[in-house]
Amino acid sequence: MKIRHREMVAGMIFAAPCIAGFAVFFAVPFIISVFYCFTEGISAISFVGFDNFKGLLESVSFRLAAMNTLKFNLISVPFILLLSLAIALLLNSRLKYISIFKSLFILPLVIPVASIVLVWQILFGDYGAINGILNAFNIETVDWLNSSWSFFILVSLYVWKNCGYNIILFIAGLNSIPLDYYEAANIDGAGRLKRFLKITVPYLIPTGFFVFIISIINSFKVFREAYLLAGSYPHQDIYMLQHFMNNNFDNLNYQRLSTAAFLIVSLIVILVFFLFSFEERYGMNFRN
Amino acid sequence: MLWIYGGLESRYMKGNKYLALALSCILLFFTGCTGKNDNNKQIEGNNAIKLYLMEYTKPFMTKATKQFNDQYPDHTLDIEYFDNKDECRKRLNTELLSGKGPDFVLFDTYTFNSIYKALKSGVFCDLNPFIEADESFDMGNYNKTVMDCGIFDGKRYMIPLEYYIDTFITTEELLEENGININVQEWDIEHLTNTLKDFMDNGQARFFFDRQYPFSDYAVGSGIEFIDHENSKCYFNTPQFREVLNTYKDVFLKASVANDLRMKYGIKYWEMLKDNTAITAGAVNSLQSIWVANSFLFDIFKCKGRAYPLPTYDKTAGYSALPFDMVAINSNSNHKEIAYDMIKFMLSKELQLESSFYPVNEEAYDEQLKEYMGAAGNQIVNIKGTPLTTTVISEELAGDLTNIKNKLSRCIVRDEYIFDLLNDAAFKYVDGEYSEDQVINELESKVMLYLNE
Amino acid sequence: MIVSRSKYKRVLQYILLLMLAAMLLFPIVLITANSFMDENEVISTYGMSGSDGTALDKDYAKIVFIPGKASLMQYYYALLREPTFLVMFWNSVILTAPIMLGQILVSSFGGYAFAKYRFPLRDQIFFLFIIVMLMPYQVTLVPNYILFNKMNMIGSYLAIILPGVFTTFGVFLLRQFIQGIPDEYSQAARVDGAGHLSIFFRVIMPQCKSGIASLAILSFVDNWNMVEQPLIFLRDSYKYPMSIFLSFINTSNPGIAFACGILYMLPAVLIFLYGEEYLIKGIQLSGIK
Repeated sequence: MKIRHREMVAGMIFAAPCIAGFAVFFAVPFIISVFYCFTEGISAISFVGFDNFKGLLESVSFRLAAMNTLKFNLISVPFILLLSLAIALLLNSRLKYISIFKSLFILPLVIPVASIVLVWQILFGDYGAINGILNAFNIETVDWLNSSWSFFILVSLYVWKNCGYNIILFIAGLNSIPLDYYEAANIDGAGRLKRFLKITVPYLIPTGFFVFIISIINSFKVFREAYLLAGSYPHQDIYMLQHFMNNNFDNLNYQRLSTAAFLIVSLIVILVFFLFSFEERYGMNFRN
Repeated sequence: MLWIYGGLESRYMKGNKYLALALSCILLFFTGCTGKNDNNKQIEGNNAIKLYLMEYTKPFMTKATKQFNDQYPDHTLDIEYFDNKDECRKRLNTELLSGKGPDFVLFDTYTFNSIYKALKSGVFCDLNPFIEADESFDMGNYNKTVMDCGIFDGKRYMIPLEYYIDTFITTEELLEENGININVQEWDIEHLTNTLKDFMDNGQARFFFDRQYPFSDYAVGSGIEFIDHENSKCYFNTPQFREVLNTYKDVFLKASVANDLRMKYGIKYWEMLKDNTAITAGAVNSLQSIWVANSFLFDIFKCKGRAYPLPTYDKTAGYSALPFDMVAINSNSNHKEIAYDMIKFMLSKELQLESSFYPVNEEAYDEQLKEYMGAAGNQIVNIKGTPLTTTVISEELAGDLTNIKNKLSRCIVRDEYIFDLLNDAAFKYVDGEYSEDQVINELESKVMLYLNE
Repeated sequence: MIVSRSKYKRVLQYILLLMLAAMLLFPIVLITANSFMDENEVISTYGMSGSDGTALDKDYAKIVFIPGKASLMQYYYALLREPTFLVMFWNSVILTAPIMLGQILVSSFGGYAFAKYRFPLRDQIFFLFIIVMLMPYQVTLVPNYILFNKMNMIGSYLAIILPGVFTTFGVFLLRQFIQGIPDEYSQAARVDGAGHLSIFFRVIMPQCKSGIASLAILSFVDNWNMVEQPLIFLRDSYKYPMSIFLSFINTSNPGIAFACGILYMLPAVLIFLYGEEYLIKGIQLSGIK
């Protein structure tokens, strides 16, 4: 009993610094911002109930931003998952020099944002290299960043940057599946595809979900690149929730910003909760 | 991946968990409440009035500082100068947002990302109570139309210090020579179109306007309503706007000196008048520049200048003024009364006489005009290296200016983002890159996005 | 997956890998190659015309991998002529190093606690940590600003360092690692009479090297690239870190933008190469339970 109690105290002491810091710099500010969701005005703060939420949901801009963010996540996250899984399968062979390739694939993560944006601008700008090639063949040039293509350009940026990290994760996941499972399946006469579907995929689900969460986090971070590429008010197709929030910040409307953030966070909480219940039910791992 | 789910399930009974959650929510809610109380009015209580200004206002402010020190010996004017616009804006934004910041703000259209949104946010305090309580303040001293541009939702949040109206100067003789006759009473877009067509057919000079006015200026000058900030609506898909857009492309621009040609003359616009490239001068946003332009016209052509505004869409509509520098009081300030006195001082005649545009103080305007009509004649001045013998502003010219001023019906604050959008869209339309419908669609969608944020 | 021994398959795999590597490395190679170009060549190749942005006759940009005339001019300008460059570089270091070190310290204690100890509300608090990780920064920005303003810390680096030290990603990562360390080790040490702290330093930390290394690298990369917080919390422009400088240099002085990018990237790449072994192992171990 006493030992248990001491353990608890020791645990709390170890955890104290990070919890304290978290509370002061993150939790309390978030609570304060939630409080702001229900107010209006800067000095004479007045309580306005759910007006902010109503105004937000009625706003064309918010709906567009939410749609775009959702679209971005629905398209790029599965895409990057499948792509990195495919490449991981490719890389998970005992080829020579494979470790060099592994290091190379992580490198994009380390490059500063501004340089990446510079390269993308050189390629896709109105007077960029791609337009130069089109011009040479007398094909009409496209203002890539100001058209519907901007969405795909952003997706390409996101995939380029984050693929490597996901690949390594998947390789780890693949390596953790014991080979005997495959051998047993082989003996039972299962073909390549069946082995993949019945062994690889189920045992990869835990890793897969981790990668899924990380990918979503990174898809929010893509705002920085979008901002440097296209400014505060980009083309309609890449106007995302982060743009909405950033612009409201610049326009001194903190309440709207908090309301939007609160909605987003609530959705994320629900999503994460569901994800983990799903993973708990269908994912197989090596607990047993 | 079991760590979260497993942990939540196993340790505590479900009921216990939810109770703990509910209790912490209530506790945090109360923390939030107390947070509200100590959030307001924390600007340093010592007797310092704070201001954030750009470096270029320094000379203007030395006079104001002296006056302030005379009037309030136990207060200090604490001015922080910025040489970088972005830094100034960022500082202002964060500080105003967190409930602090300078006591009063002297800003122009580039300071905030969107002036209307700043007004809407309530960051400035309503000046009407101060004005009403002040018996010595006579609204009749000031140009009411311009002063009222700071009114949003019934409250007066800011006051402009100076403004300009887009006008151009030429002589009646020049117009006659080129086969044109402008009737100011009927001066609307249709009249302009016909005038310019006549000019292109019969005129001697190459161009009518000495510069390409940006589309935004032209659209504002036309007086049509294309943005409604209070209701977050825009009206681009209207026949009026389309007509304005098309006349800009088809007629207006063709009769204006193109940018690359203009670069050859640099600042010396009068050279264009001299060699018959253009017949009007547009660099006239203040009485001083009108005086200079008028003097050049007299110098070159020996004729008296007349002033004309940009035409309106509807000949009965009034003209539009655009303010430049504006003042407002931070609603979180502890020194509002003193800040108000500072504003009054900035609106006073002495300081208004130093405006670089039209002063909003009518007495200052009249005094400036009188000087240019009388004492300022027959001097030799040096304008960018060119010597010039000045002429007084004639009665007729003064009459023109007064008429234009009296016909002002609105004062529009430049929302730089929207104006940039207008200009970009017009540029693409003129270039042929976009069709008319594409331009309208893009404007509608982008501006609606912006307004509804 | 069992690799087939056929040579044809191997060749195909190599080709695919090389293609992928080329696509991923293309921007990096471009930047590196271009950083050795003369400033004039940069401007003429990319049709940029410097700060005013209005090139009178615009040419299309060309992708050039081999500079016409190799020169170190960009580096020369960046390092020697542009005095702010080095200052900002050190500002970045001043900001990033404390955050890294602080984060490692706090997160290792925290990760250990969440992984190996039980205390009330442990899992609920951890769930909150995750939620906060997903939150955009603007939300906590204004209250943080108010807080630091009250403590008169606006303009000091601490206003950026403190929130950076306590971001919850570190705890998240290290908890994963420490969970993977079998309990037998600490139990054995406990039997030998070791106290909590000595278990922490002698048993857990040595086993956790890869986790700490990977946290160090990831934290470095994240904070080295930080732009918004310094802009808001710092007052004087001479205190700005390099990340801000770099984002403006692209338009204001494109001639040296490439070299600046490379110089900026170097520390990150160096740290990465130094600790990559740990990083790869680290990511692998965190992905699986």
